[in-house]
Amino acid sequence: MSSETNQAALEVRNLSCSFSGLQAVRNVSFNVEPGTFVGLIGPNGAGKTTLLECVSGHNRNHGGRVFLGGNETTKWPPHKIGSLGVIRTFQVARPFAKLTILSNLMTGPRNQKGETLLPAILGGWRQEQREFLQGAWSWLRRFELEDAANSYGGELSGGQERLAELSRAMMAEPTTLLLDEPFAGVSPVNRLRLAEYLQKISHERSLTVLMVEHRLEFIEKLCSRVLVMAEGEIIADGGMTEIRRDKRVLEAYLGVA
Amino acid sequence: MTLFMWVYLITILILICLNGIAALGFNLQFAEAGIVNLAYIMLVAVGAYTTGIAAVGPPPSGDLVTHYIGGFQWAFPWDLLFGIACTVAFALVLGLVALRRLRHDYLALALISILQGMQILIQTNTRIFNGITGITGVPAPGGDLPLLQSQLIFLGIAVVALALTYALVSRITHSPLGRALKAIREDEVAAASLGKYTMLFKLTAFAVGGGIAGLAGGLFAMYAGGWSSTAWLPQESLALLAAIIIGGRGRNLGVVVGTIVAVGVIQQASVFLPLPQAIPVTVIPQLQVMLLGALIIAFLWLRPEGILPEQKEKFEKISF
Repeated sequence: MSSETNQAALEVRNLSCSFSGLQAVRNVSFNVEPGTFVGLIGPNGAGKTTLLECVSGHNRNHGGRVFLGGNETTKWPPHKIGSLGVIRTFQVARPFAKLTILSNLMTGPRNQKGETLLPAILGGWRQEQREFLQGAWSWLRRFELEDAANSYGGELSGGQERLAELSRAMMAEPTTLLLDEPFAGVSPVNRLRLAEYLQKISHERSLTVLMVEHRLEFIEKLCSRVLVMAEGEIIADGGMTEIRRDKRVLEAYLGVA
Repeated sequence: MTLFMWVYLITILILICLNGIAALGFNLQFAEAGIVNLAYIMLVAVGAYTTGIAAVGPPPSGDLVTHYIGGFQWAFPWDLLFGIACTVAFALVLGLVALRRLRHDYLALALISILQGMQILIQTNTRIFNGITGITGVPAPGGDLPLLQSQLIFLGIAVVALALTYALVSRITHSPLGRALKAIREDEVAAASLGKYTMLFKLTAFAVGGGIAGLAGGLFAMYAGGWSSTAWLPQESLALLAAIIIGGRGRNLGVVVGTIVAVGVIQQASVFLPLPQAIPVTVIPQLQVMLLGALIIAFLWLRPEGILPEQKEKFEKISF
């Protein structure tokens, strides 16, 4: 359990990242304590997604260091970071289009017995798969996706895709979730549902969550701590009420002096 | 039915089996794992050559023209197993090189280039596999028996090999490994974010597909009595491609059906086509290629999923 150690779930030190000649992230440093739900907000182009990608291993073209649960993951490829239980979702949901929703969820769990060659051929993986299947059905039920269980990943609405992608991530039993605008493209009804579930599951499982979002009402509802980024730097770090009053934040968002 | 017709029928069945084996391996790489290996025939060739050099004796000592490595004169099935092992090893090396950074179009181009390069190497450096002539005199099990018996024995071997291959790819396809391969095929980035080591998965599919190619190649070499550079021109991949596109990508039974269509109907039926007097018989192989090409295009246009499409994974419903 995360409270055993004093190690941060995520530690970013002097992270700098540029692409296309633009400095997207400038010397950013912060820690995220285990079990906390942290929001990352800022105007468009602030570097939030780039920062997330540097943490998740999708962008390895950066300076500085990243630590996840005490492991230095600075130059790790995405699959290695994923195997640690640090799972990210994407700005545009990426379900596997030609797999059914249920199959999508079943790809989630890590280190499945039947995924290596000899067990796949010789068998012995069915019992474990049955356990995963129970988990999958319970996620579908939770997000009211049961009727879509055998639809293709490519056939869902935007909101359903988002929920399916999140369920798939949860099937991987993450310790840390990196969420990239999870509320984008989701209908108002599903948004409330999603917010409710994120709140619930993060409490239930002492999940650490770092969430990039634009919709401040959800940041307020879910996040105990908010990091504000503008032009590649963190300009504010605290609770939502402090943030709302912070001059620099107002300036960044509204251009007010 | 005359003896000739029986032997002809058995020939078609054997070709269906051997092409079916190759097509199943190709399907595993191409349709299941999304590895666009249009140079699959190269892996078949490795199996054919290595089985050949394991099966025949060393080059005759007085012969100044014939050169090849090997010549162990091993009996069946050891020559075949050697061929399969060599092909798996080759596929692993090739996979480690090609699959690391290349995807889709670039991967296809790289593999085709390697195929061309290998062709030139084997043809010009005659010491490896005897250049353009290739390996000849590869014995088949039961080969010294009368024609009908030896053909039947080989058919038995081919059918067993096809059944084993089918069982193998079926088990993989319907396992979590198969599901992971499809996920990687669909979206490698998303699969990696779930912690899947995509390189290892792709390499596994590539190596198993390679082993199957080696099996097909070895059997082809035994059946034809040899293997030369004309046997693995890039267009030989066309029949395999036709098999999986017509029959159904990602569906093993579909691949077998597609092989029957591609091999049985097209390759052999066109032999019986009545041609106007003006057209020479030598045009028939070209007509076969054109017919296959036309069928591929027709299916991609009208029914891209093939005769038997890829199935959804079936799960039992668990209610609470």
